Amino acid sequence: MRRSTQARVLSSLAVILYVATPTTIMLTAHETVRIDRLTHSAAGDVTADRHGDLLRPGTNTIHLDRGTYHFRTAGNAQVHVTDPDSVTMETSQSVKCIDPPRVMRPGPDTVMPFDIRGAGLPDHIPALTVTYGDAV
Amino acid sequence: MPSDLPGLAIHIGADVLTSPRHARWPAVRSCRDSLERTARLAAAAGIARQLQLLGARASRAEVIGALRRAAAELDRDGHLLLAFTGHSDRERTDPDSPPSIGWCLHDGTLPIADVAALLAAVPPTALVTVIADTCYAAALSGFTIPATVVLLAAYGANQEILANPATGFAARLEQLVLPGGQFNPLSTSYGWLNRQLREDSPDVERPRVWTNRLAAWSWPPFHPRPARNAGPPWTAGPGLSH
Repeated sequence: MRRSTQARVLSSLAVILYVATPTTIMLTAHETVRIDRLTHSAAGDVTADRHGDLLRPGTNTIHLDRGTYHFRTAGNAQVHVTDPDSVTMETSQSVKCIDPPRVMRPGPDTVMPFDIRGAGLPDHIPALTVTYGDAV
Repeated sequence: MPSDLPGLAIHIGADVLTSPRHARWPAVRSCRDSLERTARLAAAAGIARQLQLLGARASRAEVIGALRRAAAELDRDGHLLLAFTGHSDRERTDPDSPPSIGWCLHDGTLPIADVAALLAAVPPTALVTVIADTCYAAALSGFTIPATVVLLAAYGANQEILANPATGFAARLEQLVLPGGQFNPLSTSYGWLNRQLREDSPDVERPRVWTNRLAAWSWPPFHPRPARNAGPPWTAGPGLSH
């Protein structure tokens, strides 16, 4: 039994968007991205449902209603926000980290939106660039 | 349909972790459901002997013992199906070495290097199917195992799961291969299955099928393994290039 020495770099950027009023953002990434909408129940549980189709590599325009959203990328990403007052963002190396951000698990006995399967610090944390205004 | 050859399935669901490092991690909620699904896939593959290790039974000693017994008892042309669902850990103990990856079991971590070593003891003419529903799942492909191995990895060797349990890996596998309990006529090869699994996933979480035999790409997923030289479909073609 022999082990190959192929390098495998763990790289993960997690972004949580808090949308106060319906708005449109532009997400640019060199990879296919899934956006999930997080829904909080009265009991404090959090569930996740995919928001729209998968986003193909390149620049995608996304309409977001009021709510909380989440996406992850393996590489750098750029978000352009037209209305700075409508969106705030939180990033972490991974929402899968132990412990995940508070929005993912508001209380100790609450249901998390995702099944998390382990832990490991990334070797590289991709950058998120955020721009604001009308011009891209 | 019963298989022509004897097989054995070991389903591990590490849903209760007691080691100090892992005890406070969120429990994997879908373990039991995933194992029921992998048991149905194993049954479809004609495997009658199935062992389920959940909770405290998903311990290092139980898993190692089960794999040792499987390697010793498996027919030379038999089929071992190993399913694991749970946490994995990735730790860098030496700054000059790649991180070590292991499956988190009830009472501690089982390095995948040890899993590979245990699978390397399976007769080289046997078939080993591994369903790894865990982070860094494809890392097992980095080891050389003499037997034919088909690895169904929920995510890449460098990727972490953040799955909605309702659309988890085992659920997707079963839906693609065995919808409604019947073989999907479109599921004609592991190459097809690989494409389907990857088509609807973001790059940050890419499931994959991997095998150490080119011909295995053309095998129909989870179909009973016929006796040696039994003819199609298992002897089909040179296989797909992936």
